[in-house]
Amino acid sequence: MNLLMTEMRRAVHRRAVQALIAIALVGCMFAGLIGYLASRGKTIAQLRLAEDTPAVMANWWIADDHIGVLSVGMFFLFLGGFFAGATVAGGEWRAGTITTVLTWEPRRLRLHGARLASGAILAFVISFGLQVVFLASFVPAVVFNGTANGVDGSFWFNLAVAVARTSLITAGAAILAMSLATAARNTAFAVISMFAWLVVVEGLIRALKPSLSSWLWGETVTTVMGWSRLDDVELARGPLLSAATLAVYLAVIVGGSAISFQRRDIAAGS
Amino acid sequence: MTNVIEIEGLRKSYRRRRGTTVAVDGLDLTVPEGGVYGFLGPNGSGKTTTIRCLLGLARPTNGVIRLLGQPVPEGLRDAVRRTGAIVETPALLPTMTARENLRLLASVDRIGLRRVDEVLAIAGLANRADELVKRYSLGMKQRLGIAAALLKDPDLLMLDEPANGLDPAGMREVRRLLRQLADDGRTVFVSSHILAEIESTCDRVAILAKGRLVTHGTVDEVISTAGHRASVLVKVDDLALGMRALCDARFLTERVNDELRVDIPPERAGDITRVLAAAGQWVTELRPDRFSLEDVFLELTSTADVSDAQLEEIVA
Repeated sequence: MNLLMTEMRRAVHRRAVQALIAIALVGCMFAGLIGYLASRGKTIAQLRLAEDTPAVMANWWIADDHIGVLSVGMFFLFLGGFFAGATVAGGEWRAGTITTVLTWEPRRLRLHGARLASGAILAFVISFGLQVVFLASFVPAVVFNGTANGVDGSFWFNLAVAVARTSLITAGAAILAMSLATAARNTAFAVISMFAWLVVVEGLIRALKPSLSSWLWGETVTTVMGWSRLDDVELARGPLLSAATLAVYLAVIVGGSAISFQRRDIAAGS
Repeated sequence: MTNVIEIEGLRKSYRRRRGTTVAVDGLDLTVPEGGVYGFLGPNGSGKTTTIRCLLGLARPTNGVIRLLGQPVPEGLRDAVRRTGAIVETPALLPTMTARENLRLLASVDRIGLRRVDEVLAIAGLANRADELVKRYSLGMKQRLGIAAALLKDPDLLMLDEPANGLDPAGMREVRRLLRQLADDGRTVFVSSHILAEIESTCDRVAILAKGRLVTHGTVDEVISTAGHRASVLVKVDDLALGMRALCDARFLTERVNDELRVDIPPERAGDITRVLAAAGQWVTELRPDRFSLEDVFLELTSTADVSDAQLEEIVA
């Protein structure tokens, strides 16, 4: 527990993490302002016609269609979680602090586990908090310009589940990035390799072998985020199976990085 | 007396594209408890690699290591609890203050906050403990690294080049600190390539060259067993005449700056004065020419019986 708390404090002190949170908070403020200005002077009927307006609280998350205002932030949270995770793990190698920590806790698997767990917990909590702030930024638009009609207990439950699911995906993204950055011992590798995989490799597979699309990270993450089967993908999977697929992918990468961290020398400038 | 470090046949090689580089080659080393032990060698001689192997940061290719009686890596956790270490430049979080960094490390082993203040005072950083580490000079970072190493109140301090980046005053301060720590009953194992840093501080030394142990023992033992010819330094008014007189008397003599070095044991210095007096040259100064650890170090590390082929063992 000590190690876990220590690693969380170390991660929070990373400037990149603080900067990402600050950027996200500024983005939330802008989103709230735009939501308010865009809904000003419109009637409730006009607002209801626009399905994506945050001034109608029921639009925040439409459980039946698995869409809503909340989905705007999901992608950014996934990216943010990944980038923050890569920075936290890669920064330890760049600064050489990994050597210092290992002179205090030489059991590498334990340290690696604590770091991944701390990254996941932080990513989950920060993601959850940012989504709350994001949605809260639309409260003025709802109160002064819009409506909370149609909001009931099931709405709040479904919204909370969607927020928690997005937070879990953000935590997964952070773990993925930390594992890649630990294996390669730098931040850039994790970011570039993930970008190359998602954009280039998965793009090629989608174009040349569409039947494999349901196995790709992009489709799998999108399915889990929206928690609904994708319509435009061959042999699309359900959200539960997609979540299990993501968990297996993650387990393989985490396992690989743990073996790499355990076996390789911590050499100077590595 | 027990040993805090025992190394037998340590070999560490790295696979490179062109073959295998041997960083440490069959090192045997025993460091007894207590005092300051200097681990000397030029850059690239394998000092840091040995320290990395001792701390489990690098896996030995061959050999047996025991740290504070515990086998490495199996018993490393217990040994590390009693070992404070700096490996190369101390690396701490630059966006935190010194105090925060130490508190963070202390929390790993549930060390009380009072100890943080104590080590900051020992390292002379108490007044600047609340500054961000990124604003620290290299010397201050070194002292902070020593403070971090002291947090655990360790039995063994392992410091890799602790005087790097320090000005002369800082070096003296570190020397004083190392001596004080050893006098308090700890063992201080300090690697360095700066001999002045070591000679006045260490009780025992080991000299490493090209991955191999060249010599070890107390500083006096190392100097005396290095095979130096005893000599004396003589000053006379006319060096040329003095040199001719000594050479005529079959003394092996050479001119060193404004003195003459005569290869003769200091206890036979009377022979020199007699020869010079007979030649009309009056001695104005005569003293034994003592070899410093630095002389021995330079001699041993430059003539170590280790060929480059052994250092860079290229395996096709």
